[in-house]
Amino acid sequence: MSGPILLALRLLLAAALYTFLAWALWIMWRDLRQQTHQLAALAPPPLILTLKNDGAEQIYRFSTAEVIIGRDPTCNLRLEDKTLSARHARLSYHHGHWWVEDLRSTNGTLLNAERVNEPMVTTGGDLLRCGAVLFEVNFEPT
Amino acid sequence: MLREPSPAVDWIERRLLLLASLFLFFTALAITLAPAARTRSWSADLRWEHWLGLLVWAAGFALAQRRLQRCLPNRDPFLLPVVATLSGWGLMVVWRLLPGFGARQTVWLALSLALLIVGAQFPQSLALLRRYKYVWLTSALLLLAATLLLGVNPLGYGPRMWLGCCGVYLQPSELLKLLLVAYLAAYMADRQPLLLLAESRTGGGRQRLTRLLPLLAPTLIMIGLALALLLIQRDLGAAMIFVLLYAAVVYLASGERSVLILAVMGLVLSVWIGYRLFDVVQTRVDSWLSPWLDPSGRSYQIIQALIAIANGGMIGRGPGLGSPGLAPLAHSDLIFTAIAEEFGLTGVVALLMLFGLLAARGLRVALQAQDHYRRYLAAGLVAMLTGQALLIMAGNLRLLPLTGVTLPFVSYGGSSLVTSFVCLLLLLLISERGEAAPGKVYRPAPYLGLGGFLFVGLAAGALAAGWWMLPRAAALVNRTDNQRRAIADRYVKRGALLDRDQQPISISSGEPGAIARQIVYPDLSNIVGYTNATYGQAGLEASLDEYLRGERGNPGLLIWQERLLYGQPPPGLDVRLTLDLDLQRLADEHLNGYTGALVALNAENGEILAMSSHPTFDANRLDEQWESLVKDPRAPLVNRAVLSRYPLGALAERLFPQGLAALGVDPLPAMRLPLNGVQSPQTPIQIAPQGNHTPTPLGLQPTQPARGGVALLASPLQAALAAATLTSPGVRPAMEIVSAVLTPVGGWTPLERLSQPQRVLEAQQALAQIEPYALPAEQIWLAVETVEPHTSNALVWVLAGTLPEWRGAPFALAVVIEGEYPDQAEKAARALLNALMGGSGATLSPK
Repeated sequence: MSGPILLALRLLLAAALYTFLAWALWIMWRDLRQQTHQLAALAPPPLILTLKNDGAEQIYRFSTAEVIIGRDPTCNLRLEDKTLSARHARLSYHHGHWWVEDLRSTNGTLLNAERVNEPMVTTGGDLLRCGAVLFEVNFEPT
Repeated sequence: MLREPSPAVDWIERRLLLLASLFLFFTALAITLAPAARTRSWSADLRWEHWLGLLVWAAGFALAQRRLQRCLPNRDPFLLPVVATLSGWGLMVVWRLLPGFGARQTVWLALSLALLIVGAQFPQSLALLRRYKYVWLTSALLLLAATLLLGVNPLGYGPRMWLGCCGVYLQPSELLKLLLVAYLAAYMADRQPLLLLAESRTGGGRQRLTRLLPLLAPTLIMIGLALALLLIQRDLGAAMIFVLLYAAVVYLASGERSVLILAVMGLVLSVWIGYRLFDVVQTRVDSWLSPWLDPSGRSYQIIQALIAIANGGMIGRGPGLGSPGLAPLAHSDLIFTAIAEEFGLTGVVALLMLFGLLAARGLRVALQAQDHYRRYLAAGLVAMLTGQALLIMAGNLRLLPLTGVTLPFVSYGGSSLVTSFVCLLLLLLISERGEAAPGKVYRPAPYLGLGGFLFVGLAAGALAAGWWMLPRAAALVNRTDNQRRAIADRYVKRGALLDRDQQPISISSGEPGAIARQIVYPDLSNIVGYTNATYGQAGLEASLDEYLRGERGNPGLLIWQERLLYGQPPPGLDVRLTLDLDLQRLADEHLNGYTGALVALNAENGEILAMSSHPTFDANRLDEQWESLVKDPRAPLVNRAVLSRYPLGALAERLFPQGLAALGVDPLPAMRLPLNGVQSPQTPIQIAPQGNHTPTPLGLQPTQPARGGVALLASPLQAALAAATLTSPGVRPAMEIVSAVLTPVGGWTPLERLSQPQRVLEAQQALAQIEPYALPAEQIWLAVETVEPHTSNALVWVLAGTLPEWRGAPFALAVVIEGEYPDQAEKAARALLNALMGGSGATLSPK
């Protein structure tokens, strides 16, 4: 009779051990899911850039967390303007805000006529000038 | 400073600790009940002492959990339960293997937990470790240096790597390992800006490395010192870990992959050099590359480890039901094999997953740490704990050479346990990071690389364990150096060997746990053989082992069930031989004091009625007599009736002019005679020892061609068969010595005969050949021949049988006596024939 009792104990201890592992992994997976949701909730509000040159307005909309402006084909917003550098300026969303950053452009970047030397926070209605190109910055409400 | 405790952390930790204690409770209960299952009786001495260890474990971790909840409310909730499972598991296995060591390990665990509880209240210890890094490392180096002068080994032999006093021993290299990681983490964190600079300024790999070198110079000096000390001590496993840890931390900090490549190349090179120079290294590497060549010497440990692992199988033999203690150092270096044997592949995979969990959480702690120092420290500690676990587990599984390091948290060893718990403490302190956001990770690749490497290593361990436990298991478990078979013999009754009237010849008796084999008729020892825990098996005990052990002849389901439930074979089956003990006694009386052999058989059905070989020995006294038996020039261990081959002299010409082969008697290897029970040509009968002269004058000569003027050789068994063929007349009978096996389902079941009776000679021809030796008055024929008289090789043959005039069953026999004793040989032959023909009242029951 001792054999079957011990077999039951052996199965029980294996079950306890694997429950431990399975439960730990499940909790870790749940954490991961929660984190994913949290990070997904942090999605940036879409950025609206209105090009204000030559009187004619043109609207660009971006839902990515980073927008680079320049002449280079790899830029998110590519404009053929001689006053723009290849990679001129970067708009990026982190810490709950959209930030503007100059990428060492030749002709500089101005936010509301203030020179951008370090990353600056933008708010809706700001005017952004890259070289000779002027944008109005707006966000879509989420 | 105190903040609201996080309920989730507490909840996860408590739930996991509860599951861990459930696991350990069942394990402890199984260990308690195991003796009852082994002896299959509830009156066995159940084991209780390990519950003390479990009690200390439960109380200690419950207290630690409460204190941590207060001091470190935002710690990682998985680290403590994982470590609790590992250390509790190890504690139970150590208690189960060696209760004395279990008690010591329990004290060490209590100490480690106390250290954890106290240490958790001083989070500033991380900063202290960083600030005084040189002080810590230097003092650890001094301690290590002290072992050169004052070192001892608790075992009393082997490398002296411990500092000891009053029964407590410390191994400074364990502590040094930890402090080295802390030192490197602190140093690299301090030099972080310079490291970044070195990286940004140059492009090429080689240039970057040369830029790195001046930065690393102080660390190289420190590690060089540590390595020199370890090499002097011959602590090669620790030295390997040091090099790997150094490379890992430098790689983490600099992202320089060439550091890793250099370290691995350096290790391979130093192993190669060590292989040439040091015996220790050579032994380890040889026994790793080709362990099967020297299973009882250099690779004894690894072979025993593999056998233990193979014995585990899918779900293991069960706690307390295996025999992992057979492998040397099963409680420390080989504790993985102990777990593998008793918890099986399921247990091994769980163990590997626990280390995987530890690595995953540890690396997460590293990535989330607030600064570089903590990050390098945490990652270094993970590399140290998991890497060391991988190194020793791979060694146990023969993936790598076996190195003498411990399995962290699991193996027996105070220094190792305390050091591992300090690692846990540091990881917990680092995981408690408060408000600060994690600092920027400059190079994520090394963390991914380290994690990937550790996980691949753990997966490889699981695969290797599966390989030894499933496809290779049968071959390993059935090895003759698997002492579990001898242990099973003490617990499960072996079948008896009986004579044709079911008189006992060899029986097992005693209580389970102390069952002993006894030969009731010792003169048959060199025929029946022996089964002995030290000297193995021989004779019929060896060739009939599967039946006697119950692994054959029993229903397959029963065999499977017994192995699953008890890890033992079912009770053995009794085997009935064709020998007749009355005739046997007569034969032994006549041969006693002489050197020779006798075989008597029924010439019609081939049953061997008596087989005697002298001098013989007493299998019951094998343990005390083995040395003298092996050295005895008269070779008492040899079964001369079967193994020795003597020249037939003139008898060959007169009795067997056509040669033995024509009679259906294979003249070549005697053992290949189709005799059931002696089937295996490799039956391990102990062959003559090396003396000054050959023990049996001509017995074991190399085979010579039977014809062409060279003497015809025959063993007494072959000669008896040839004589029976002439007696029958002309029909060679099918010999047998085993008549039946008592199976639980079919009762007495005859064994399959290995040959059929065959007419090889016309009856007239056969009778004509024995005609010159016929004694019609006595209804027998009898040939006595002295071969090579007056020389030291002289011997006497007697071949005899009944004549056709005899109305009963025909009998034949062969006697050989070394030396010139023709009268004695003839006397023996006549006495036996008399008895066979009813002269002395010996009657043969029908089969």
